[in-house]
Amino acid sequence: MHDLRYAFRMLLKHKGFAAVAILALALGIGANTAIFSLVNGVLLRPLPFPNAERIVYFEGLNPTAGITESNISYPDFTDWSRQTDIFSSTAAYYTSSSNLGADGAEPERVPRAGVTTGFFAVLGVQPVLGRAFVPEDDKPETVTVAILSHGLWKRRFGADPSIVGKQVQISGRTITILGVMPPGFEFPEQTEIWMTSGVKASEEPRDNRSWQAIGRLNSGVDLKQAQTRISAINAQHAKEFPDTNKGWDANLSILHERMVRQIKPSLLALLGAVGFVLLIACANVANLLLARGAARRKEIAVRAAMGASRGRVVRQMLTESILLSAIGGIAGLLLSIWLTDLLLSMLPEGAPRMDQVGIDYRVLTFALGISALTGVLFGLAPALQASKLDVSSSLKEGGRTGEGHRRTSARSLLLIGEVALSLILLVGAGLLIKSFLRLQEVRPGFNAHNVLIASVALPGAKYNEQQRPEFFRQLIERLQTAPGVQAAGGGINLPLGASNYAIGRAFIPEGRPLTVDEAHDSNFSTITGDYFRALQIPLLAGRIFEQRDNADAPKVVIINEFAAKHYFGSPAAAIGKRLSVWRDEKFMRQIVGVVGDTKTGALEAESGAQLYVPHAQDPQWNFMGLVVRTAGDPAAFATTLRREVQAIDKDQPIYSVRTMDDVVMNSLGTRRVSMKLFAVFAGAALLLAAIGIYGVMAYSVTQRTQEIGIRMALGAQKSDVLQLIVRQGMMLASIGVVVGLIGAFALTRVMTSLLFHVQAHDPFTFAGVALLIIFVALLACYVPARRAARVNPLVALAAN
Amino acid sequence: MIKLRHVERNYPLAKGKFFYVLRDINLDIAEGEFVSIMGPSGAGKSSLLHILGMHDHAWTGEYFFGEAAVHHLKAKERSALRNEQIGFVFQQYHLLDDLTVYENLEIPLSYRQVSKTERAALVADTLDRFSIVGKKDLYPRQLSGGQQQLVGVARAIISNPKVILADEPTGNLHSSQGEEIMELFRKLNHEGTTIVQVTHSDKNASYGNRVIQLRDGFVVS
Repeated sequence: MHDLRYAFRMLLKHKGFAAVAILALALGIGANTAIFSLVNGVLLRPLPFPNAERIVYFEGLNPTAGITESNISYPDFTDWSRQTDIFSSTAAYYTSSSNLGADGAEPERVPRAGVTTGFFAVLGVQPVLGRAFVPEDDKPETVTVAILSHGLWKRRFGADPSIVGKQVQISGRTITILGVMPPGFEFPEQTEIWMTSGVKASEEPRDNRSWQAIGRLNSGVDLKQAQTRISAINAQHAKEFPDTNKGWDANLSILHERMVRQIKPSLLALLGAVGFVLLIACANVANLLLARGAARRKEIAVRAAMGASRGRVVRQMLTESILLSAIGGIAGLLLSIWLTDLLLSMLPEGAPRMDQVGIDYRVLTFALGISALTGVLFGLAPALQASKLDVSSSLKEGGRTGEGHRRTSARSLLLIGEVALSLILLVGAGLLIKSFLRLQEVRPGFNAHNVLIASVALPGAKYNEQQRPEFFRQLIERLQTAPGVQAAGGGINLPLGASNYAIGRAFIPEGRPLTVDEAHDSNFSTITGDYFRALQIPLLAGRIFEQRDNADAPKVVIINEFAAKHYFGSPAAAIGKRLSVWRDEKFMRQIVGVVGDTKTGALEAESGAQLYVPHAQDPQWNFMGLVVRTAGDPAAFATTLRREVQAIDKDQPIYSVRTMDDVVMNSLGTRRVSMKLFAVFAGAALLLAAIGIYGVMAYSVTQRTQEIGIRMALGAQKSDVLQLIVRQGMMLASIGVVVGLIGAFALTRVMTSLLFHVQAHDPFTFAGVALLIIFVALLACYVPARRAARVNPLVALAAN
Repeated sequence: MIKLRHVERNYPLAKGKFFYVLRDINLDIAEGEFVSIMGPSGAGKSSLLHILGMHDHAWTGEYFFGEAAVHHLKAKERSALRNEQIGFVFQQYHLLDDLTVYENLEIPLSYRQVSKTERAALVADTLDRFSIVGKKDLYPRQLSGGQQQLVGVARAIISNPKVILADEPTGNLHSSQGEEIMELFRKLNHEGTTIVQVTHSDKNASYGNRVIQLRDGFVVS
């Protein structure tokens, strides 16, 4: 208690020192706590399902075809589900969205999932109102019942307690509400309506890998056992059904792990980066404490002379440092609340589990833990140094602030550490920035500027296959005549996954046997209107689709440059050739045009082969991603677009309305946030290191005043003194740079998955960062060196 | 060799007033002299020594060192002249703690653009001359006070200055060690070096051939 009181008094007495130390710690602890709250919410907090660690996710993979993240087929799922000694329950599902409307209110597009009966049993969650699905509910090709999310029930139905049993219109069908799920339950992906799957198992092909699946492991069964069993079944499938299953297996992973798999490396890298910043802040505070320790030699010597043991001195000093870190920790925790909100606002849409991010007991424990740890970390070295004091010489010196060799070494080591850590962080940031720039240089194959996109999904019950192309033809016609529109079109599969739908289809060039072995994977899209002109995808050969390419006309297809070159030699050579879209179409399509490649998924992914067919000749699709190129601000066209759709069908909503620029921006979202945060942390680290170098050198100059005076008395010029101090600082900084380069060489390897077209050991980044640090260190040394050069030898000698 | 005319040194006080530490100093020191500056504490002895040593330049009056009018010299010229002509010996020795005896001796030469080989030769000669070859790798803290001052004197003369300025060179030494240092000064003086020392000790002053008494900033005899 006495120590604590004294510690308070010391902090109040040295307000400037205390303020700087607390600020550095608050920033370090605050940033760490904010990032940890993300890590906690996303990675550590278990999914809100009972025994969530037993829920597994099935993911298709075909190593020979290079496919690692595929959905699975329903027949395969059915076979896996039979392993009741492994799984207590399983479920297959798909995600989509539905029109909720026709009840007088504005029609609305809501995310929905079609699920098999076991879905809620696997997750261990039951409705709070009504009941879950039973096997009798899931009738083949007929969906009549649905369960609502708590949010949708409150928002759209005013939390009507008698909602169960009522009927609503969903995508033109009359659906009976069976129940309402508990608040917060929205698996998968913010679903608001769960409907039965309507699967007709007998007609589901094994190569229709459009389902997702989860299962709950029986107690006592581990993931490895389950994996072994599933792989054995898949091996059997490959023999039994080679046309559809050759080379295919399924990977089982814990559902939580699967959900966060993509964001995990970024989060861990950020946690490491921000940890480095805290370490650097600790080193700075330790240096401040060491400097103060030197100034407090006499006080400590008097204490020791009065009988204070070494342990007692250490305790006193540690009390002071822990008090500092506690105050810094409280300030940091408050800061982290604001920082966490800031981080969440920066994250791209669709980042998983963000609703789980917040301050909970884990975050509090973390903040408390790192506060205590930092207190000991930066306080221990100065405390031990202080306790090793030579009492008699310190008293004889009358409190003169001479420095021992050990103390200087400790400060030098801290400085080297600071420089090394900031170099590692800067290299990390440099690599991410370079990756980001490389990614921005990637040409997506279309012009995203001035393009508005929106999705329209026609209710299957209201529009048959003849009516669908007609609806979209009419709509596109209206849009093309709207003021400010340069071109309008639509496709089921927009670039960069903008329509939230992607379908791959194999095709076989004419003259080959129709077997799967000969099929080439491609990205497939059915398009309508002036699609290519709206996105400014260049036509390389032949023509684009015209009105004449209708249902009765010869079947046509447009392919991309990649497919033309790989399978036909060149774009010109491809024109007039024929191909078959494997299995689905038992006829040939003639290639009438070749267009440029576009990025269909992510910017970093390869384009691959792409096929486009006219909607009139493939009318099964009831939804379309609209693309409208406008002369002015595309976002301003949203109202007109909605009006034009509802002029044709007043109950027809549009959804996912956004500009193509936003899609491109969002596709870089996680990278942009990681890069920005890394850059901010690295900048902070560099600043802290510069302050650290400056502090050490300035303190060294003060300590060496007499020596500098002697040197000047012996003939040293200002330039000699300048050199002396700069050389000392640069020597330490250079050692730090070397240590940092070695550290960066070892550590950046873990960042490989975050990089794009940049090597983890990119020599330009390493060299550039090293030069930057040397330059900053030079500046940080130069200021105190100039002060040293101005030392008046008279004063310096007289001070002795 | 050294000529001061009407030299004054003051420090500003509050309200535009000044405190004078040296008043109207007129002084001549011939080449080969061994002069002792004496006087009570605060008389201005050390201030005078630092003006002579060209460390201090905030004074008024005229100062001639040989042919050079120091009061007209620029800072660089002044320090070049000092490096060439003057050696210093301090009461607290002022050896650099982190350098060995050898390195301490080398320091003044390194500031005089002496080549490395020449430096090595000069240091070796000086170590020999002062019989401290065996101590060349020791650090100052490993030496006695007398030995440290011996190194201090060796360092002062290594660049062969015409004048040695010594500020109470035996102030921190036992009497026997003090005598050794004073004998050394006498020997250097006999070899032609001009010596100006500040001292409180009549005994030390007796090694010289002239005493300048200072009191309250004035030369009184």
